Amino acid sequence: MLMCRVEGSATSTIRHPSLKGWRLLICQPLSETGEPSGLPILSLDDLGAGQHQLVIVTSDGKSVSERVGHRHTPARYMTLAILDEADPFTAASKEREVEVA
Amino acid sequence: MKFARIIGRVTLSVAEPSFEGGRFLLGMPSLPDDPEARIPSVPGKGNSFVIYDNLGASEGDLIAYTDGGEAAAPFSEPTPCDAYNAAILDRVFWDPPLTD
Repeated sequence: MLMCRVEGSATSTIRHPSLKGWRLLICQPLSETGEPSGLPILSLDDLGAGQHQLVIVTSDGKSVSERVGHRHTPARYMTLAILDEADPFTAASKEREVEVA
Repeated sequence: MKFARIIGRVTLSVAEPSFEGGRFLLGMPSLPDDPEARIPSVPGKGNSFVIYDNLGASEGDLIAYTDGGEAAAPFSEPTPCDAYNAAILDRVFWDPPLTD
């Protein structure tokens, strides 16, 4: 699972039939410090994640194909959870500061 | 799925029978920028790669492709496919937060 920031969305008319009806979100994977890592990915979403929200995205194609209800779907990424507004990165760095001190 | 910009085509005569009905395109990894831009935007160096396509994408299109294991999933029989065109993108809204 990846922690990502939602950075936008995409629409498509000509696509694999299994993607019909799904929102496509542009998600930027983040490193443990909250820095962008790698190129943005396209994730299926049925949670209604909003712009710039932090989400957890699964990269397990098997479970995504179960969720999509299509055995032959090419989709791999899907949002599983929306993180609460509290910033996990500041919290983590504060904990680290405490450990160092 | 990841973003790619189509930059060309691959033609061949003899192929694995399960590839029938599709064709092969050449793509470059891309940022999710304007589908109308028609040119690949690649941060730093990226290698072009061959993508299986049965949707009919053409040169300049921004597509969403799947690589790795899931690229072979849409085929009904085991197929040696590494990159699969899952969607041709019409419109993209991309607004990354400003970094200082």
